[in-house]
Amino acid sequence: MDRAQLSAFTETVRRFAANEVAPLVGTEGRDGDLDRLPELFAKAEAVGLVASPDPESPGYEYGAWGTMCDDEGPAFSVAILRELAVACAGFASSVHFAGLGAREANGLEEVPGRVAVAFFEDAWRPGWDVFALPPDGSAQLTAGERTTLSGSKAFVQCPVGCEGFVVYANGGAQWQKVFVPAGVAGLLVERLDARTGLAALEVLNLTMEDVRLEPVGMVHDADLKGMLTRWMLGLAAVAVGNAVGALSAARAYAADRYQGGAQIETHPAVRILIGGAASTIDACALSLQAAAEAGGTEDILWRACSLKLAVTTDCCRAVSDLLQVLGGYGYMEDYRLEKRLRDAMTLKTMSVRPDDLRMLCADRPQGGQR
Amino acid sequence: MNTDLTPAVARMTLGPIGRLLYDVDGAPLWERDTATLPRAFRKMRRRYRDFARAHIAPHALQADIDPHGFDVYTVFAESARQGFQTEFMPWPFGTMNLLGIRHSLLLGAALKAEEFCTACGGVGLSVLAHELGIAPIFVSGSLTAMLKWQGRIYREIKAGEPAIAAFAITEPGAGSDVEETEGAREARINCRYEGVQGGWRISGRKCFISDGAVARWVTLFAAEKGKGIESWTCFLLDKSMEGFSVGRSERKLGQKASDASELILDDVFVPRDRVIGAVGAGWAINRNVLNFSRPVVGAIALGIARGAFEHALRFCRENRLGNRPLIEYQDVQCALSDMMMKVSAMRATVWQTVRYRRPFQAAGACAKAFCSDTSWAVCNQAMELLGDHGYLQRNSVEKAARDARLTQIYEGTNQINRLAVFECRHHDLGSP
Repeated sequence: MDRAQLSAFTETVRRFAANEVAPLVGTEGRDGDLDRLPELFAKAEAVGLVASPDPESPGYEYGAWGTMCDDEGPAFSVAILRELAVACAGFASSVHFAGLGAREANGLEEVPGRVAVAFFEDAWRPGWDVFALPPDGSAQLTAGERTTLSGSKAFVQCPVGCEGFVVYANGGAQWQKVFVPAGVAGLLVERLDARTGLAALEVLNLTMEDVRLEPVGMVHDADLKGMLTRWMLGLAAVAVGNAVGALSAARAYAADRYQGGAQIETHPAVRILIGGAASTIDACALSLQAAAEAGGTEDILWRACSLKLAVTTDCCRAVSDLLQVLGGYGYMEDYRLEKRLRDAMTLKTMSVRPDDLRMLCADRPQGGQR
Repeated sequence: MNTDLTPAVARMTLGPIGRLLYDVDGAPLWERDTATLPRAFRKMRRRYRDFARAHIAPHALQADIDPHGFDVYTVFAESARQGFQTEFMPWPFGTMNLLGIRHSLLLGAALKAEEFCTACGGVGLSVLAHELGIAPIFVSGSLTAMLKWQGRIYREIKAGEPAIAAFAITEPGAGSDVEETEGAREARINCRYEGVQGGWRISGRKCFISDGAVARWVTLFAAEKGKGIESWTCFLLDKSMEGFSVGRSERKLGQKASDASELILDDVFVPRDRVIGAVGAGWAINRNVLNFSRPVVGAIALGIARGAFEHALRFCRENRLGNRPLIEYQDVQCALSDMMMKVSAMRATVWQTVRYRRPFQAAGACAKAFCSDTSWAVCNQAMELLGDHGYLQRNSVEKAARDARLTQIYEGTNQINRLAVFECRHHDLGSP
């Protein structure tokens, strides 16, 4: 896909976000009309924005994290997620995690349309060693007459209507992945509902007690790194889109609002807030673009981790500054800046603590290869 | 030679005077700080903390999820029973600590704000905002107003009535304008009064008024029809007045237990004796109320940050990573130490600010802006430290962050507060 095609593709996603997603968020309720989420998600699937493990589905190739990532790199997936997040970061995250799940389920048999990846656990700290080999205490596959799975997975992010999980488990000396259907015996699901933001996303804790399954295939180191690269890049893309939306809302407010007899966009204090946020967001967007375009040519997990850390942290600060432009109105639900801040705060803290990412980045060898 | 290098053991190698000078006491920081306070305030700080733990903390999470289900009157009544709701009312019409005010007019309020908001920023504000509502009566210096209205409100509270007061300056078209001189000249004032026989008639709207829906009394500022903010006058209104109603209750990011409502005045008749201070003195009263309230907002921010720190500390003690408690990891210790340093710096700022004989603009604005910015930073650090657990409401740190964010906005945005520092004469900010 060349730049012109990418640009046209991005414009299509932008229209979908503006016409379909934004109205859902703009309705009453702290996070928009979440009752309409299944319908909206189905619509996004129908137009091919969401990847699916089903080769016949519209998003199989060009949906977010669809199979075309292998040939074209992650640029178009990043574009989808960024543009959707301009309207709603929660919805974009939902598409992101559905895409990750679909991609991981590719090649597995009898996997339904919407699945999530279950990788992280509370018991261990993410690190290069964990990304290479399963640590002690991680969810365990036990071979026997039939393979069983026991252990737990924490903070599994899922799209609405998730039908199962691709679980990364300790298969002895290597990571293995297995598909666990949502209703299987021995699987306990805890919903984590009262959260800061990204309400369109479901977050679950999974506990597996002797879940009887077939191992579906060995996971090679490169596969795991690829999955984690997509994971981190996607969150960075959502953070950028969310901040772009906040910038647009703050600019509109500043042009409209009068204080001291003048539009506040002329006040130095407001200009500093907007200008600072705009430059931060621009830098984040450019870094994201560079990483997305580099994908496919090198191992970019280290870069994706670094990007997730920097972009989600900086964009959160930018969104907070943009909320400040609106003063008291920014703090209220009406202008949706408070939702954007909640989403930004969640993106910053989710999926590997910032200090853990810092330590990962510190371990990065010269030259970038790991 | 003893190979144990810990401070407690190393200290024993010193002589008696050396040991005396080397403090390895494990006393909690809270106790050490309390011991530095004037005697009159030490007991107060303990009482505020005990009250907050017993009557505020239990409501914190549920009131955040379901603010409409939270009954502020119950907490207010208990706080009033302990004398906490009348401490900004001098004797004989209140429980102001007369021994304490020779040290500081605001130290008690700052201690109370920190302790209450450590337990919950929202519930804390809902009871603290009452003092803001009362403040114009005291700050006006009007003995008539104190004798008549403060006396009445005190009697009502003492009788167990929910006589909550609210402070109403913000208007839909004039938020920061009414908190800063330059903007005030051009402010689009909506709330207007005109003189009629026996008093005034007031029309207009106020917005974002803390405790607006639950207050019985409102100190409200309005400008004379056809004039600017120089005509601003403070009136004491009560909700029973004809034409006075409550509009929408705001849905906010945080501090949800504390109501923030719109007040609507439709040709409300206000008798002559309801003016607080002189006609046209509203601007001065408002500015000085802000001088009194901003250090307390700094203390609210401090309390919220301390709450986040304490929740994070508890989480790191109780949860393990691998085979060790989180708190044993160096990076976790660094993050917690950094948060504690910031909390200590905020407390030092607030306590220093309230030690001035009289509150003044530059100090109040500095304390407010510094503490609210720092509180937001601390709460974000707490969230980051907890990782995915940080965005779960049940762990309290994300709620603290949402609560802290408001302290950067109310009582003037922090941008307005920075300008307020420089509204003082420039050469007064440095050494003479």
